[in-house]
Amino acid sequence: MVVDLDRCTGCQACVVACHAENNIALNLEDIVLQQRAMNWIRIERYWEGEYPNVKARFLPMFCQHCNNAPCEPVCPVYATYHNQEGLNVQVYNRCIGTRYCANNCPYHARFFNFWERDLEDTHREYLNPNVTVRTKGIMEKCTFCVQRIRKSEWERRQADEELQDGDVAPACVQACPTDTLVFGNLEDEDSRVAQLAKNKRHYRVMENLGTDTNVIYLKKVDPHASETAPAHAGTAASSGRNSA
Amino acid sequence: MRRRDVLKLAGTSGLGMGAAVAFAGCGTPDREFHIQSPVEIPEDTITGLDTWYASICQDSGDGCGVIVRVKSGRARKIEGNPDYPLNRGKSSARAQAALQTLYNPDRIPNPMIPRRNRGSGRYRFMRWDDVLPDFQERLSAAQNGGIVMITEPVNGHLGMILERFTQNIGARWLTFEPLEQAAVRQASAQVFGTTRVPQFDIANTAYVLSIGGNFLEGGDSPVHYGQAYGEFRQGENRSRGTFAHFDTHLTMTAANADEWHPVNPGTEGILALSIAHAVLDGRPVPAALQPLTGGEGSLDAYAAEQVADVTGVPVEVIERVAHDFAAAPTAVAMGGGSAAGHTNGLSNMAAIFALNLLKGNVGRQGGVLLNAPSPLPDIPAEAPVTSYEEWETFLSEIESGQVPQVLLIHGANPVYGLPGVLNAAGVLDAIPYIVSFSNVLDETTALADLILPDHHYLESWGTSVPPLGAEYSTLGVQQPVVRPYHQEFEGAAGTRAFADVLLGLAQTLGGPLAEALPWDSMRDAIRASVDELQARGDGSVTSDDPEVFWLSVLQRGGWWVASEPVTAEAPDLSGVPAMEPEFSSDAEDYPYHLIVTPSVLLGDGSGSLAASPWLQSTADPMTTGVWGTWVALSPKTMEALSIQENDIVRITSTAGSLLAPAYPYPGIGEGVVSVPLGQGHQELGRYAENRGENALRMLAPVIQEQTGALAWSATRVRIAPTGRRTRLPRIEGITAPVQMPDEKTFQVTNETQ
Repeated sequence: MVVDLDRCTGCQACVVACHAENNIALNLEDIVLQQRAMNWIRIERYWEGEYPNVKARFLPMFCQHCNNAPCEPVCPVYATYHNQEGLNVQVYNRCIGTRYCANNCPYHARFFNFWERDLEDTHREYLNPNVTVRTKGIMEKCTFCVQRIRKSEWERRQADEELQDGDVAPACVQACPTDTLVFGNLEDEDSRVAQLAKNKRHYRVMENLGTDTNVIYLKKVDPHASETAPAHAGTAASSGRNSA
Repeated sequence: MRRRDVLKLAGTSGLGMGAAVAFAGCGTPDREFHIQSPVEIPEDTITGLDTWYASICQDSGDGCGVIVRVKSGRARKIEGNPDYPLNRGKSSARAQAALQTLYNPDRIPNPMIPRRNRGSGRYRFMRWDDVLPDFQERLSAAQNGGIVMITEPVNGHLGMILERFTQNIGARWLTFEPLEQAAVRQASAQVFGTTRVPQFDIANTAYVLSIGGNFLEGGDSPVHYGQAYGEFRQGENRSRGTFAHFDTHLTMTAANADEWHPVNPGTEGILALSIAHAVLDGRPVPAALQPLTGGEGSLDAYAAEQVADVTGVPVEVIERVAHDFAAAPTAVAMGGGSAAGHTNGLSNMAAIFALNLLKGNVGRQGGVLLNAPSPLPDIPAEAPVTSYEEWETFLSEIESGQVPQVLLIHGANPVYGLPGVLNAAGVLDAIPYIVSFSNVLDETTALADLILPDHHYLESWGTSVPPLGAEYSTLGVQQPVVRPYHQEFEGAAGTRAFADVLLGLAQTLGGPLAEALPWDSMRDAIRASVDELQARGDGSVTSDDPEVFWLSVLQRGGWWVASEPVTAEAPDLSGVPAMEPEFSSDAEDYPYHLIVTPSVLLGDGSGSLAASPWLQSTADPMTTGVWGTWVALSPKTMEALSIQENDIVRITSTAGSLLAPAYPYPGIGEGVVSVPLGQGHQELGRYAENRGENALRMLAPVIQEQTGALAWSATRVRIAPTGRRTRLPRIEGITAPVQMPDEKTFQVTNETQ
């Protein structure tokens, strides 16, 4: 996946699209207040600078599907592992809820089901039948909409064809109005993501940790960046937790 | 009882009553058996296979095209329609969340009448056949003068039907738009000669100058402009565009600008004229623009040095932006937002739009493109909007005794959206018979004597002429993608499409009404129009066979044809000289400007978006606040008033007050307070009611003289701490920040390409 930060407007279409596709539990008010809300993708907002030269920057954050994933070795039951396509996969029915993986994830992309799902009957009607409704005690996170990947593979296989670039769009990618998010096979030289990944603005979040993520961000362009911050580096005057 | 006994019992009772009783405690819960009866499933449904139907989204406010995934007779997912010209496969948070307005547990399933008296909050379910005859009788008695119809502003076939229905039955038709855009429309009419706000071609422009124009979160179509914005920034085969934004505070759109500068509320038009002065750089003012200056013929009074103090924008910023705007190969000047909600909203908008005339970009690629007309002459592209002044007149007439006999309401919620000083609920209560077609119990519907619930838009027919679209003349067709969730079945009551109820009434009442509305259903009306389109033989779908044509139109989500460029009429700027804004009260008693901000998720609170827990729980892009209302204050103001984050503050205007937690907002000036809209519902079901505050209620009744609209940015307030605290639910802080002091995760470059 490639995320072009210069296109992201922070509109939250991806967030709701993800909830709708992946049967994520409702973040009711008391759950948010207990700081247990689940968002497989979230838009982080960073304030920068002082009024009136203040800026707000948006960063979509979700599971980075690391090649050296810190969440994987700590799982005692192999519920999270790396598959051959480069996806960091969560096997729900292996998970015993130790939450070690969440503690070890530097991106805070893993979420624990503290409660049994309590859905209104009418809200059951729109559940996606291709995605498991997770139960209490299970860890969950972004899957890159693996159900969509499998479906596209199956459809191509029916026609005796190879999967093509652009066949698969996770829900967030499909909804994103600005084309901030692009999905594809990084190992396919001709794919759009591989091309975009060569852009000179590319970087990985927390590259120094050596997680070797499969999500590549393209830096936000700001012609006036040098006025409020040193070039080529974001300065978060405050970060996610501290807003002012 | 031992295990053996249980089995014995089960055996002897032949698995009948005995077993059922014995196992009642340890059986599978009932909800596990809650599956859909195959009898109700449409016959083309194949279990395990999903079907996609194209339709139009009515929740997102812009009528974008959607495709809906239907599996086992239920809508499962909504995506943008890749074919539809307005949004080309893209969607918004609101469009995605329509599943929750469709499967809202608090939808009204049947016709209802209040038990005992109106407003008791308790209802009795009725059957359509039991309530319709009485309703028809009352309508028939009140014909020609005694009926008032209140709806949302609506175009397409429903707009046409409403117009004909109200005209022929002799009813008064009022439409309600909470944050009136009359200034934007009229300025557009005077500058470009069209009341449909034109399409600013930002995908192809080099420079966007926006003064208050929040096109990424509000305005005509955030999805369309979002897509264009992506192109504008990093589109292929073009260089990166530059975007300068002026606004009273740092909105989401402002956050995406390359440079944002605060401007004093109400002085946006003066700022635009100052930019015009710098752009002209000594050249004479074109004759067409002279009325803006009050006939002076010169803009010297608006030189940057003269207006820097009034507008709060430094001289060098005005001059630099004007220079960039003039030097860019293509540029557009956009306006809107709170700038249009001042008493001088019209002159603000006219001055901003007139910058496009100076640039000479009207009708050019990368400039201002005029929208293509509706493909059918009798299907309106524009929705009529009743001005605040007319609303005020209407309500005062009722108070003075001219009470209509019947009030019909659909899709509008004036009791929630009109300023509290009008006391809409109290005044409308004088009307003896109120009928609501809403499918959720909102504040206006709570007054009704009869509720005839409408289908959800995913269950009914309709059309839409998109608000933007220069390339194509489009008729979007909304078709039912699922059977009604609350279905009429063997006499059991359910919901019924509003348009179909009106058409049925027209047939029953007869006369010219029946002649004007000769169709049995909305589907028939649309089918007749689609047959007209088929006869044209051009456009996105062509076929000699009307049936094939009809099905293809439904499959594509509508019909569109490439349109000739529409040429703008000569500007007529008479009557809009630059004006100073006026405010509800003086700065001494009420020192802060209240700017009400529509939420990118909940909009302005009209409609039932607040009933969606997804929209309620998705972070506001700037504050990450969810499930409530907050007051965005400058950290300096908070310090001066000794207010801490999460302290409950009282904001008071001359017309009302509200209580909400304070949020320190780094992107707002000391004299401005911003309150998001969308909350503060008394009704609207479990997810919305009694949550947050409704800032629309406390707007002072200040009117824009030239348009008659409410000047919704003109309210001044004072702020006082209450000494109480609360916790505003926020997404921010749930996960520790990814950004570490020694490692910057968010990276910025100042390369221009």
